[in-house]
Amino acid sequence: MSDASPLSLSRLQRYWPSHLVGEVLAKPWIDSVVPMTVMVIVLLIAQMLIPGYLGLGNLVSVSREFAEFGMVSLGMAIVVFCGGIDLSVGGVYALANLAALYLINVLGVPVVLAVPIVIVLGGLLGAINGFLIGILKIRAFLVTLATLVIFRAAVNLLLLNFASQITAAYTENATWDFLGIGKIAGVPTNVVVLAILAVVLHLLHTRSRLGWHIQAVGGARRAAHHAGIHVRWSIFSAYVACSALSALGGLFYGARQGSIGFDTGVGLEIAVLAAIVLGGVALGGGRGSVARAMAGAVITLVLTNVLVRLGVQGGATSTVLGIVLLIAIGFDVKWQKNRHKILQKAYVSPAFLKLHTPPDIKPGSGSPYELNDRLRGAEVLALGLVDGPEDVILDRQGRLYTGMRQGWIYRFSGENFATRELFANIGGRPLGLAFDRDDNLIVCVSGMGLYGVKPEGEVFKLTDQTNRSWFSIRDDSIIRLADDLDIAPDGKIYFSDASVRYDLHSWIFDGLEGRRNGRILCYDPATATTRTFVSGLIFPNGICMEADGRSFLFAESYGCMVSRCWIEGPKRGRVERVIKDLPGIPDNINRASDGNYWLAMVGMRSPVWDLALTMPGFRVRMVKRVPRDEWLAPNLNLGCVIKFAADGRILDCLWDGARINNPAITSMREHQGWLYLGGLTSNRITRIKLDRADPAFVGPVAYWGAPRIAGSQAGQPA
Amino acid sequence: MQCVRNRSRLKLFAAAICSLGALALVSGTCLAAGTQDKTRDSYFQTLKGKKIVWIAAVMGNDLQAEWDAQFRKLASAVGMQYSLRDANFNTQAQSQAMEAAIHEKPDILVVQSLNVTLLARQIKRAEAAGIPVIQLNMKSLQDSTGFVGADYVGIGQQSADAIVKACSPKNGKSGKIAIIQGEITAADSYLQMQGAMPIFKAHPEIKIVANQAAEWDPNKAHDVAATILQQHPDLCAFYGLWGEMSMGIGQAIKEAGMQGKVGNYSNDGGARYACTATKEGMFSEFWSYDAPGQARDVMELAISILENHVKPGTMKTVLYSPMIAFTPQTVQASMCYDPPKR
Repeated sequence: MSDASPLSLSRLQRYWPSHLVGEVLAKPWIDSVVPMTVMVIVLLIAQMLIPGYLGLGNLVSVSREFAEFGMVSLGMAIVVFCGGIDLSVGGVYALANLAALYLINVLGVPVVLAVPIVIVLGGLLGAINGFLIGILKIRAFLVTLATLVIFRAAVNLLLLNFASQITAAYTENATWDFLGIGKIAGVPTNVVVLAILAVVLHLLHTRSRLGWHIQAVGGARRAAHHAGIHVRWSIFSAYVACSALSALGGLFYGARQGSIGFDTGVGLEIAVLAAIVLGGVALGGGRGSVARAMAGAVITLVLTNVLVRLGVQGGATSTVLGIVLLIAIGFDVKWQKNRHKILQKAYVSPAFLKLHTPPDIKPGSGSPYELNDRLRGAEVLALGLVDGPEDVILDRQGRLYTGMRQGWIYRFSGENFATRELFANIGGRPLGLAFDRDDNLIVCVSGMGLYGVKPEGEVFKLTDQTNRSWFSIRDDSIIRLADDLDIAPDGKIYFSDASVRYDLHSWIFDGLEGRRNGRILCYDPATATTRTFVSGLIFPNGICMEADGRSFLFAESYGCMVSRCWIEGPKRGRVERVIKDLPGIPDNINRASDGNYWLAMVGMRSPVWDLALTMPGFRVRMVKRVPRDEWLAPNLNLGCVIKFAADGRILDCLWDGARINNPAITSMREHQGWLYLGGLTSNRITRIKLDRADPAFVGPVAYWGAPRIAGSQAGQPA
Repeated sequence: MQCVRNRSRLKLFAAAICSLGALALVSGTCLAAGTQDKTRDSYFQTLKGKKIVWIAAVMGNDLQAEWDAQFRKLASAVGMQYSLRDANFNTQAQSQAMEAAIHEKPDILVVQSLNVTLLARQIKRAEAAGIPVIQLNMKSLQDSTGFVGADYVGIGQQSADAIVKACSPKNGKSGKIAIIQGEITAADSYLQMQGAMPIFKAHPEIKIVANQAAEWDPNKAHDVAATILQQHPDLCAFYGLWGEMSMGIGQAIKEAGMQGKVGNYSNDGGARYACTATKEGMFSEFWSYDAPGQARDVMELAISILENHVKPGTMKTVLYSPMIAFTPQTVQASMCYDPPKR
């Protein structure tokens, strides 16, 4: 981060928010952009062709015409989300319209009773579809085509018998009129009902179990089944809901126009399908939203409405609608096909990063980092029994804990740590570990957040989200990559979230970006809240509380430096560099028994990598044009452990020349004269006897004092 | 007698058109200068630029094409702005067009309702909003400032009387008849049945063997008629509720080789085809409500409403169209109009 180099375009690029393009494209709502834009364009064209079209009065009257169509569109959307199709909506609509008018006009059933009867009738018709499709697994297209014919035939038969009777009994009824032509606060009743339904369905679709199940079934039926979702029931419910909504549409149409006829609901299935496809709801399921279905319905309706009003004759209206639909589908297909490609290329957004000149590590160079072979004689523990012990920690009883790739925490005890127990199964990818005052093991779990394990092995969640920052496009309230933690004397937990843009498995992208994507969060157990403490860090990783409890040290992996951050006093929240020119990529930091600090180095810098970091354009081209396995990547084959003083002086350095036991070290803990070492990709834990170490040093004691005895004060950190 | 009256009306109408056309040519200067004929000045001043909107049930057949052509011609002659909205047999589209019209507030709104209930409330709202509504031929249950069109109850009665007479077993016929309706809830179907059914019921010797709806589609009517003829070879007559649709029935009778044996009774605006087909024996008796005459009635009523600044609700004028009836024996070329070329 030297400021010595001259100002250049690529240096300025760090201020250019190129990463936002990718973040916008990665948003789920980006799919809605096309239909929403088309909707706005269609509305603007309508305003141009028909002055006053967007005026309040006109919108009110047009929206009244829109509501029933919207209700049926909602129903169809649910079925399509579920991977189905319902061609019988028009038939249900007409039957419901007929039933409602017969109940109210002829039988004089009170409206409050007629409405539920009609909805239940619709639900029953939907149950026929749902049973045949969901339970008997007959193809939706064929089933609903058949039920469409049957429902329509039923309408025609009933019309012959009841039409004159219903028409003759045409009366005006205040409640019925309120549904049909009434207004609530200036908005037509049917539009209010539609709006409520749309909001409720949106919430159900995005936030309820049934909604997720339906979406999952539509996305991949087999996978949904394997995930334990009741596929049949989900499909059945979708058809029932669709028909109930269609029936409600038919009912409101009856209330509005009081019209019965052979053409009621004819062709509705096609119009509604066109509408939701226009809105970008994928036929085949799994993709789409209520809002998009509504946008599609608005587009369809405004188009027809404008053409009718312009006096365009008959067939031309359908033709124009067909053409617009074709264009929209074509565009949508291309958009869907290319969105991921664009995203893939646009998301990775390398930034300018100038690292300090690295110190020499050659033997005989006199550098404190001189290569040596002091780890060669390390004692190997748990060989083959561990898979990726990123962090290791020892408790008061000298038992060794480490997190596994599989989401487990193992505990090793006994002579030579020969006894292995599954201490806890958290899930995710456990990384950094620390003991709190009550001997709970606090764990950073990548992909999940901050968790704790009680001494008896019970897992509990501390936090999985922080505050959302105001101007972030990507949702940064999610804790994506909780990496390492330490606990302040007051119990507050400071932990690093290495990247807000990438998950653990994509760490290489974050390295390629060299962008300030990481942050340090603070979890306060007193209020059970998590706040972002420091942001704009380059892959913050290891964290270690300093002995006075007023500040902590942290390492930024891709920034290759160690800094101090104050948590108390006038400098609270301020960051100062402690070591700015590490020769490698730092990982965890932990306390040494002599009051200094151990720092693990997972890999070494190379001149090519350092140079590439100053050339964002080069890295952009590399990501876009070169296959992934040929990318330049940070070197994680060789690392070391260093000991440094609080002022940044390098005191010691331990290398593994053989690179078998400890090629890439991510963590080390000092315990009773030994240093225990772990690695993110290692299959063993090693330990090495330290020469000048305090043989009584035990981490939790150093932090929290001797074990608490009932009635006594909690120990102060050493 | 009706024919005579009608022909004289046609002549009068032609004369009026000619003179209006001639006036229109010079009216620009005349209006500017003012003439001695004060009523003439105010007539044109009142009508100039007035908007008349017609919401048609469907375009694409002779009846509506004739009305449209006449409206266009008559409106432009007096400087009115005419525009057409086509519902294309789609109730949804018609109610949208109606909603838009209410919002637009034309000076005169002419509607041909697809069925008797569809536009009832909207007609009421339009009139409440100050738009005089003239209903054309297909009535809504809601009455309005004006109605111009056929007396369908009357046509139903006349048709039923004629069919009863022709099919009575007393005259050696089977008494079996079939009714092919259009859209059951549309005014022409609904009201004709109101007129006809009591008469059929009063004659137990007449047996209605089929009563179907073909939704104004000649092809559907043809197929239905062909099936009925197979089931009832001794059928006496068809009563089809609209002429253009009933051409399908006539065709089915012809195909079955039963022309002359099975009657075909129908009615409509009386375009050229009706006279030709009747002459060829496709229809046994045909009632025409004279489409060009209806168009003129609508325009006259509209002009009268505008001249008198009639507020909706203060007037309810019903103008039933005079009928022209003809049979293969009585039909003359002048009884039908030549529809505009489409």
